[in-house]
Amino acid sequence: MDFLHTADWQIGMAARQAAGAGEKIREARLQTAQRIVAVAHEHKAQAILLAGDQFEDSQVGDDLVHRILKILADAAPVPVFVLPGNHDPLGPASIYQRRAFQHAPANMVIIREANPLVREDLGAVLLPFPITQKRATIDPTEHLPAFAGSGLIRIGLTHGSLRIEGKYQEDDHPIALDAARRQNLDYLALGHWHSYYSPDARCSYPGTPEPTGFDEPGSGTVNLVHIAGPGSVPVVERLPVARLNWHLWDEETAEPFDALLDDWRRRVEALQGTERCLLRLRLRGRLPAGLDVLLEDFADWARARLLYFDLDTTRLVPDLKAGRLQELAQAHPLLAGVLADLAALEHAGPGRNGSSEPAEVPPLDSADAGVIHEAAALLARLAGEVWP
Amino acid sequence: MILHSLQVEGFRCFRSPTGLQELDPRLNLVVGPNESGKSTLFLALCHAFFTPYRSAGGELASLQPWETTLAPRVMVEFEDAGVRYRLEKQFLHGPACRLSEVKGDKLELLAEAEAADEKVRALLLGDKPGRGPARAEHWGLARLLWSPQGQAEAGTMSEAARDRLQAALGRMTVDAGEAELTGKIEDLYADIFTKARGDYQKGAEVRQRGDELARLTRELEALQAQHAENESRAVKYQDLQAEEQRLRQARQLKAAEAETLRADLERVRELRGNEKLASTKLQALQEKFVRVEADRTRLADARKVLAEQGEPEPPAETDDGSLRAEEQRLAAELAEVRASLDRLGALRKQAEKQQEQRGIQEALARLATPLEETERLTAERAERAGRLRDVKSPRTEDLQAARKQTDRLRELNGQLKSVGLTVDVHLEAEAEIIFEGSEGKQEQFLLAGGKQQFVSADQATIHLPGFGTLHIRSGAGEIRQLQAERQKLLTGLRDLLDRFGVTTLEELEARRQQCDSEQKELASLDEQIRLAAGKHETLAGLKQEHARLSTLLQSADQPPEVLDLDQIQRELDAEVKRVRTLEAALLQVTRAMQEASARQAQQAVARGQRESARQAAEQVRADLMRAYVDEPAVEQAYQEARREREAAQHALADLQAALPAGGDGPEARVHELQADLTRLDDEIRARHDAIVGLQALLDQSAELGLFSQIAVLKETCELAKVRHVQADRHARAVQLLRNLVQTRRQEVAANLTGPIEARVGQLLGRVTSRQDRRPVFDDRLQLQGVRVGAADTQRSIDLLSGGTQEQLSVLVRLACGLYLAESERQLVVLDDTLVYSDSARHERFQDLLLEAADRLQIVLLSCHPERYRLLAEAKVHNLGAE
Repeated sequence: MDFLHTADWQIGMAARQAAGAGEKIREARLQTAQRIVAVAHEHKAQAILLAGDQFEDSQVGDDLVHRILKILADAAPVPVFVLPGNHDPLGPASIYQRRAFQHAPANMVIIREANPLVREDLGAVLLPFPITQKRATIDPTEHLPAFAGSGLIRIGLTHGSLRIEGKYQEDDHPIALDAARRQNLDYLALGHWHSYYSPDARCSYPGTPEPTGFDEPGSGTVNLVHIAGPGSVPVVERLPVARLNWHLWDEETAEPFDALLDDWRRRVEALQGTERCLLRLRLRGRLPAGLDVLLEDFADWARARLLYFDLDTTRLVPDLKAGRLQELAQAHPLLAGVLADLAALEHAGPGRNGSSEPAEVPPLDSADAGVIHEAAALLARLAGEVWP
Repeated sequence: MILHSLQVEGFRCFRSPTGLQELDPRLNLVVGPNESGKSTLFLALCHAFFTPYRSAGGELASLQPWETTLAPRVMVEFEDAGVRYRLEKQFLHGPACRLSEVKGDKLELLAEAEAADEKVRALLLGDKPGRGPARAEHWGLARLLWSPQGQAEAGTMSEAARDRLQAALGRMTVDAGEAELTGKIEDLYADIFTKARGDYQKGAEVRQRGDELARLTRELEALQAQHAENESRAVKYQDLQAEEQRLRQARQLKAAEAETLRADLERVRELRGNEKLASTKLQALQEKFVRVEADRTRLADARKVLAEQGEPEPPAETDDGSLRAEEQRLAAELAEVRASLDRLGALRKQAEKQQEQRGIQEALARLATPLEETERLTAERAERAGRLRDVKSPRTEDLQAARKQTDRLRELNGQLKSVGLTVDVHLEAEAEIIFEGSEGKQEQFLLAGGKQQFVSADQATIHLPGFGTLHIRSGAGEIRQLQAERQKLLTGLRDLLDRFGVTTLEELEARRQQCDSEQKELASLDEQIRLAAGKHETLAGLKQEHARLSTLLQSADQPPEVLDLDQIQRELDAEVKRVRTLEAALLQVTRAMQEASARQAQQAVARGQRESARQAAEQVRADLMRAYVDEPAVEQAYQEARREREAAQHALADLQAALPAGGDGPEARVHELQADLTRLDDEIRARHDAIVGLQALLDQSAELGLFSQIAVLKETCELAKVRHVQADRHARAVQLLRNLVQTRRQEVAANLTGPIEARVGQLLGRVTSRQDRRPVFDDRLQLQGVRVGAADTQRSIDLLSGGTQEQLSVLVRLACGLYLAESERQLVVLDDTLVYSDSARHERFQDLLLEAADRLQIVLLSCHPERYRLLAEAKVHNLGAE
């Protein structure tokens, strides 16, 4: 038996890490869903298992519900088993109570009760446990329905966190690591974690098929699971389906800056499908006065090419002892004094008055590195206007 | 800058053109008495340079001469940086301002109106006032160099003036570029922050971004609240469902119980009917039993009565006559004792009468002595009273009249003597002299050489036997009046004395004393009589009592023998006791006789009752025998009725035991259950309605897609937050830069005050002859304190006298002027300063002024020219007498 195992589509989620591209990111998740259906067809999957959190919340708009229903209808005749997760749990306000689901496609099975689903046609029995609460301390696999029959592949389907120290919370639907063995399952299809994870050959998380941020390695795929027969060890193949590419670059500033920026430009252009790329450039190192202008130019350039670009300069340390401002300071003592004060403040750290010369610098409780940087940049700009 | 001339017109006290001409470039002393206009000239100078010519308002109007509408005008010629200027300014009416350069005899117009104002201000680094006339803070350099009257403290320093002073000091200064940079930072700061409080400006981006973020956050929170409400509705929905389920289960239980109870209800009703029948039967049997039992009891009672009638009667109680005999004996003895009592009573009366007569006799004996004494005293009093009645006693008013007349007579005699005749006789031979005057006739025999004086009123006759008679008369009318009055008085006095048989006043007074003495004697006798008479008070009272007692004694019968009253009383007491004993015994016998009679009566009644009872019992028995035939039948009927009653009681108890417990029975329970079911139906319906309502709300809100809206709004908020953070960082960066620049400039100011403090300290040492004090100024040259000696501690300026503080304010101006004069001579104006300086310091000050005049143009305005005699070289401008 071959089937697709996926979860955590999180349809309708907010893109807070890339707020400016929220609509595009939400649309991309729908496109990924379409892609999953296509992949199912491509690989002749006999079923699609959705292991929860198809929707980010039970109160997403009806338009999204209809879009998903349409996409899943396109999967026909492949049956789609939909398990409610902690983001879209069963209940009176569940999204699965919407009228839209009264006209769900025939191939779509919404799992509303923990009853075994015997599918002789698939040679398998599905043993699901739907989630009805956002948080719960019970192990959902302990409540999988019993099935005494034989000759069928036993597939468990539920949603929760494996009890791995540091990676779960007691009220986050905790699941025993050896749940598949305990429940005598051929395969335990789980959902909840956004990165692929498999504690053993009979259990896995497929991860979200579309990453939700810059820090989700192991996402963007679905599991194509092959089980030869009851008792056989499943063979899992991860198939990429993600529409968007999230990139996080940690870079250090180094002179010559022009060359550095040119290098970044070349790397951006080399990205696959730049219009589907989201890039966060996280800089560290020193920031001499004047570099910020160059960086802003680069940011504008990148935004014109990428779906989303974010320049994170919060880790940069303003360098006030180099550049043209320092040259001007040689001839203008007031300017030199102010630069010395900024340098002293920067050296003293946020919220501290560390200037030793002059002795009396007004308290600057809000003077953090960003403010000092901004002040230095501003001073440089104004000085450039006064002494072109 | 130095001043060449100053001319005013229509300016306060100066209606016509007045001013200072050809001012000396070194020293000028403008003198004049109070109100001659010295300070007005100073004021005119300030307005000329710093007040915009179009300024108006009450303060400028006050510059006009009193009760005129003249336009105040000022014309100043001055020199700055080698250029000589003429400034003409007119305020209020036809305001005008012209600045010209003086080139020889010609004027070359440089600027007019606001441009001229601006140019002049720029020369002295002044600031344009906002509205109205310029004030000291707008004076620029002049604030450092000119001292208005009555202003002790040194002028504060503007930024521009400080820069000029710094330049003069050759110290670190702010160059033009840095000034521009500072200006740009200030502009940026002013775009973002308010000047007064440093708050965000309304139009500042950071504020707008903040407002936008706050608005979006509020919207997001509102949506999230709705979202949370929907979530809570879902929870409530589930709770309601569970509750409805519980209620339905409860209803099922209640309905099942009601059904079971209804089946039992028929059986219970049948039992109830049987119970009622059994109860009725029991009641009838109970009545029968009671009736038979009563008959049985009646028969038993009758039999008992009849049985008792067969027993012998108890003996009747009778009187045996002993009681009556005893009663008669006691009565006889009692009569005997009472007779004895009567006899003893008569004897006691006689004894009492004898005792009374003895008392009267004793009383008569006691009365004899006082009666005798009282009679004696009464006789003596009657005698004295008779004597007193024969003597006529003068009254007090008679005495007073006599004394008054006598006094007046004596007074008249004196007057007559003083105005009357006084005859001094001096005989050379012995002779008899007979003098007859108003006082009567006097006969005297005088020896040879004897002298005698005679007085008389208005006439006298001196007869010298053997020699002849000498008649002397006085013609004074007053004497006659006095004599007439005297005669009248004499007549009245004699009449008065005659009434009492006396001839002189003294006799009259003696008579009165005698009468008073007699009266006292009489009173004394009255008192003695009262004492002697005792409670009877008078002799008559005593006599009356004596007569009464004598009468009583004579009327009393004398008993044949003397009786012993005490003996008689003792006998009486014994007989009384005996009477009481006899009476008690008699009473006891009488009661015993009464009780015996009562018992006999009771025995008679009892006999009657027994007879009646017997008759009644016979009747009852006869009646019962008629009903029951014989006596065993009564007992048989009783036993039968008892058995029937007990059987009925058992049957009823069995039925009642078969009925369900509880007073109201199953009907009440069924009714209660029915009410519960109704209530449960209502509650279930209410829950169901609520569930349906909630479902509708949930469906409705789900379709709204709240979360999708929240997602979009969260992203918008995120963007707004980023924009706000950027704007906030920019604002704080601007604030930081401004603070740093200001701090740096304060450092520059610190560099400026040091040399000024040193220079002023040095000058102060020269004026005060003390070198150990150095003043301390702030960055605006305001005096803050003083350091004394090598001590680093700053002390309060209160340590300095008012005079020293005033001297310091002038010295600051001189010091600043001397520094500024490095490039060109500077004008220092001192209006009425140093008024508190002692003469020594004042003289040393004049030395300083002479020295400073080498580099400064000094204009002193004073109403005490004599105090500046050391400034002989000064050009004096006299504003004239008042």
